[in-house]
Amino acid sequence: MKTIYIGIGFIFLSFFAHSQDNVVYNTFKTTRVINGHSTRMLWKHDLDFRITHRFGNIGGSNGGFPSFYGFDNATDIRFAFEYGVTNNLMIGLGRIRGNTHQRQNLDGFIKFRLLQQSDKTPVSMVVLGTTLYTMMNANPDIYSAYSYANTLQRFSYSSQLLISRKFGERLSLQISPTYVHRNYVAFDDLNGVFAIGGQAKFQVTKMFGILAEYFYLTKNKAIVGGVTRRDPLSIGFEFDTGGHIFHVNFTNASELGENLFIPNTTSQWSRGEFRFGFNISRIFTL
Amino acid sequence: MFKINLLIVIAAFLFTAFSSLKNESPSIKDILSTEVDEVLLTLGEKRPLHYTFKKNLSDTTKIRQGYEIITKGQTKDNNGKLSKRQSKHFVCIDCHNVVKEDPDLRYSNPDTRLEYAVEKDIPFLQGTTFYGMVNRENWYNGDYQIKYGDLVLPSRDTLINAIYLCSIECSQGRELKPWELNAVMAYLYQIDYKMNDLSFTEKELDQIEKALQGEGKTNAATLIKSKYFRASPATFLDPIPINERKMGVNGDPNNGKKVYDQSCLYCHAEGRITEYILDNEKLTFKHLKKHLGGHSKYSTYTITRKGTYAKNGYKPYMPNYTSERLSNKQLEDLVAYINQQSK
Repeated sequence: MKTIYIGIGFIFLSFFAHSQDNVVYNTFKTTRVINGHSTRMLWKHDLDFRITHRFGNIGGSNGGFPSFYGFDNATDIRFAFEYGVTNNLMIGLGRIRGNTHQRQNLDGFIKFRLLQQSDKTPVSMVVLGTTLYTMMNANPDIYSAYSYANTLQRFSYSSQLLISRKFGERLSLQISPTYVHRNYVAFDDLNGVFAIGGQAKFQVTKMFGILAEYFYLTKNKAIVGGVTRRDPLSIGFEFDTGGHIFHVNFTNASELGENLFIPNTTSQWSRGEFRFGFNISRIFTL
Repeated sequence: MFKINLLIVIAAFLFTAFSSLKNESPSIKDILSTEVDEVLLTLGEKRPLHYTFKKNLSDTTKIRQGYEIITKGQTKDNNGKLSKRQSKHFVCIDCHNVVKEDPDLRYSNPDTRLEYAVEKDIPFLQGTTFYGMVNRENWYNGDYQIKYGDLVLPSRDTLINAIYLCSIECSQGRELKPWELNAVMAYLYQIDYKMNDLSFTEKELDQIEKALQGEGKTNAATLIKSKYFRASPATFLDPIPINERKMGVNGDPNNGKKVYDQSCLYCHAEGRITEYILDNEKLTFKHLKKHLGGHSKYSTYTITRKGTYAKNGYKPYMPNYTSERLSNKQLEDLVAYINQQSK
């Protein structure tokens, strides 16, 4: 019996007899991969002013030289302020123009880090909850998906669990199970959309990286209003200027914000319906 | 009975005699545990202007507040309310240690300081330590006038002005309030020089002991002051011209690693001060190596000597290393380490 107690005591002590974790940093250099969030958090007191822009189709019926490969058109724009409350908690408030019938959106999110990769923890893990509210005038057609009869119908929500791991110096991978719920949708649509995101970064040099992002919609690739919902696929390039992280990307998603680009992407890469976009941000210390 | 009373009187007389002798002659042990400024005052030296702040020496609340202002940038005032951060961008210990950083306080030698920093696991920084700050007689001396112009002139001879200048210009923050200044000074007087921080021979200690009894005070004071630098020397260097850079040839990468770990990473590690992150990844060393031969902000040769400046919209900046804080030999060692790690 004495031996058992001693054994339990050693096991208990072993929880304290560990060396300091070596935390893995720079899995991603900024809080977004391309359209979706990464597991990167803002440091406490950092205020991030972000501008995200998506142009028109490079090809397809609305693209090509007449629109200068989409530069004449802006499919979506987001301005946002995001803030590091603590090193593990950040909040954000943004304004999204919107590209489908749903316009004039306000989005707010809370993002919390549960785990950070280290020599003892294999992955980083973050939970993210986003709420979107549309301020647009309700469509007078009562059969429209945008004929908001009350305030609650203007809301949509998304919940994500972001799990990432950095492999060596160059490769980072992330998986992002996501659930989007829209309070009010068209009659032939479903309120809930479940997707699994896969994101990757390859660090070519210290200051330049290649990004990729794909969200697979597990169901709901239904035809809604005669249009098929497509999986958002994006490729991007990341430039680190030693003070700013600047992204340029190509994506078939025409909207910004998880509540919009995940359920509302209808463009196809194969038809040239992808666009150029950029993300810029400037961090201030408050 | 008479004999017993006589013995008691003799014993009392002897005890009193020995006690008074002890008070008149401080032992070596007493001298070594005494603060340097108190010994100097006893030897007739003039009180510095900031001596008035020494009245807070026993106020443990002020000392704790001062320590927190220096190490965290803020503290709770006497009403328990958390003060506004002194600077959004820096705290004092980002650039200054608060412990002894030179093994011999007579010399500001970056080579011996680096070895001492590794031995004591303290950062190897651009700014002079706060340890013994109150014992100095000049601040912002040497080439700091090149960087700050005439702003340094009122600070050269007055510690309080130097603290104000640092809090606004160097820290890119706000002026300290009077209670905060009192607290900071209370803490700085906790980390002033003691006589046992200085190196004396036995003969020199005898000289000081005699001086404290009245013999040769001026010479003893001069002797004590020669044991530590009373102004931290500051010589700015230009970046080594491109055609004179040895690019780490004959540099010692082991020594360069010490510079990288104790100095570069202190500010450039993730989550520290700057958004230009350095780490131990080969990609980082390749990037540094690529820029060695140029004049860009990524060039180790350039940035260590020139530093950067606070700009509107981006206030954090990199202070430059003077020759006393990083030698050209150490710079070549650092480059040798970069070359080694980039392979």
